[in-house]
Amino acid sequence: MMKRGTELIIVDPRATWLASRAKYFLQLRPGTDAALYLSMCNVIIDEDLYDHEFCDNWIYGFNEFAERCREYKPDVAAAITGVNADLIREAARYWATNKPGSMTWGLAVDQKCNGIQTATLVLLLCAITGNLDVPGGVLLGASDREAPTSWWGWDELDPEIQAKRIGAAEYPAVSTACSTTQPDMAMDAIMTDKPYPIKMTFTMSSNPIACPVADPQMVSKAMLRPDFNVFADLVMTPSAAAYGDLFLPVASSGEKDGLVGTHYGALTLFVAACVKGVQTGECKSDDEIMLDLGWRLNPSKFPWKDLHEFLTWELNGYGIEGTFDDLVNSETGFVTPPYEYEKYAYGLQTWNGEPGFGTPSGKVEAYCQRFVEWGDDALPYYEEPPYSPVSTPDLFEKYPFVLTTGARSWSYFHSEQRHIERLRDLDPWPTAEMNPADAERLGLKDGDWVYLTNMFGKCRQMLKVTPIVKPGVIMAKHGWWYPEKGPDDGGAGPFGVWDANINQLVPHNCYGKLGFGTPFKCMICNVEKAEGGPDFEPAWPKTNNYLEFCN
Amino acid sequence: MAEKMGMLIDYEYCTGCHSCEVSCKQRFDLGSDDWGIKVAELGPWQHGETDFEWDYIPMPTETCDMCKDRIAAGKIPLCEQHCQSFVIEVGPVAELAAKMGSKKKLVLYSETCEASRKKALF
Repeated sequence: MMKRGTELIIVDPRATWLASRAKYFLQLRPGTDAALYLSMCNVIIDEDLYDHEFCDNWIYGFNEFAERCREYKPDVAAAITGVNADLIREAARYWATNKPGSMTWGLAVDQKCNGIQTATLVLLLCAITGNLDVPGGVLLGASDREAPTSWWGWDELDPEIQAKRIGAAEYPAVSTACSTTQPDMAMDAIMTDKPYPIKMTFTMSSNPIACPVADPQMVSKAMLRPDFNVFADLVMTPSAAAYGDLFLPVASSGEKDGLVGTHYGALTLFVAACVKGVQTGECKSDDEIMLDLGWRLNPSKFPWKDLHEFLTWELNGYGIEGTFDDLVNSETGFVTPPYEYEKYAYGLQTWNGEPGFGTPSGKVEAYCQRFVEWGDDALPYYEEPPYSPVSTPDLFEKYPFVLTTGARSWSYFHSEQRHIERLRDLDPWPTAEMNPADAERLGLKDGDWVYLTNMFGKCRQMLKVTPIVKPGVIMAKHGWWYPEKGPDDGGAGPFGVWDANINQLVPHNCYGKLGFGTPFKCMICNVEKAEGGPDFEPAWPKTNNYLEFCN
Repeated sequence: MAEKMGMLIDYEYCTGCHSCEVSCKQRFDLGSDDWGIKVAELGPWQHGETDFEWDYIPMPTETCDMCKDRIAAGKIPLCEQHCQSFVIEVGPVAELAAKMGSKKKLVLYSETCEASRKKALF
């Protein structure tokens, strides 16, 4: 796209390679995104740059939203975010007057207490500029085309069972939007037996104490309480080592027949076939494990007689005709599901076939009554992160850096692949990025090992001194553990997970009013020089035989 | 006499993903401190509040044989095949030289050696 002339607006507290090539780089204080987007919307609305046709016909609460945005004019947002006010204006004008425009966003939007509002604002920035569901804009999943397995089975459950979903009553937004428990409350149930004891857990493709949970040491202790914990994964992980009772080895991409469906929200961009090249040990694919269990536990609900029949059903659920074998034998092995633009205008976005969006009002809801029913403001707003220079100035004196986490590495996805030599060579240690001015002030050098500390915990990472983060900001890597350390807890947790895991600085039970948004991306911390680094070389033991760690 | 080959890199778009490095290491079974092609880095240098200079530039080593065997078999060099940004083009050096003025941030390498220091596995 860049080669074809697409211009970029990059919003990131950290300068990336993309930022170096962006037309506008908005380098904001971690956690202040909603303020930035409110002010961009303010510029677009008050300078009359918005798409009148779309806003007049398809947005509910536009005038109320415009009023809210006036509380965040560029000078106000500049003071909050640290982004120059004129830059905010120029970027907003550019976005509104150059079409089509699309926005992509990652976890950073969600991983803050203010995340729902931030995501709402991202979509409204597209909506008010007429970039929703148009070619080159932000696309929307059709109401009948979400991933076929995501909601499967819920409607058939007994209402008594449905009522047992932990957190559904307190956080209907979570239960309704994501069909899950509220995760912090579920963890509390595991810890306290309230509202009822959790007897068993089944963890697939997740390494909780290394990656997705806050306060991982608490989680590790709590997870010893259920009677039976099962893990299905590619390799022995710190989580499986810490509290797993049964380990099911899972086939990797080249070792299974399966489907890969990319998704962005409810929109599947393409579906591809995985074809099994080799059988490794006793590995089964995730699908095979689920089907095996389903056939034993509730065969009437698992009507597919074998894996391929299931995969064909799944493929057809994406709106793609033919069988799994047809896809495998096709020219490319992948297919893009059919797509219709402007579904809202043609009755393709609603359950009843009437024109409109799949919302109670039939419009894009800048004013969302459902949020009010669920306990939050109807309009998007900015809220300071719960631990920040502004929210907690006293704590900030002790922990004077704004901490953000989770910048991506070419080698890894979350906690995956630390054991693969070629990838580990590229990025061998968890790095915490600090601006040269701060490093000089503190007497720290590039390559020093440091402790990152705050009121919740600490971890150790290697300092990377770089201008890509502003003074006063630290970007720490996430998902780190050391496969070469071995599974026994030598004081630093299985595989040394307590040595490196940044989530020890992030609190449990801290999230937004709707039940989403632990602030992984906006905390505070201090930085102190460590006596040295981990006393081992990065390497995977000479065998990839996970069974070595399974006795 | 075989015509001279060259490797043209458009480093305006090299993202520093290292796919070229890893694919070549696989071809020659190279260790951690050994490369057939290696990505160099300029920057990141901050020239202004939001103005950063940052480039990645792959450089072939004396292990690089321009994958002449693959080309003879109708394939393309492994690094070129695996580059996620399509910034590598291997071909007759004279043809590639003609492209040098067409845009900024191009670099053209001639062959690095008479014969690779290593033996390719595939």
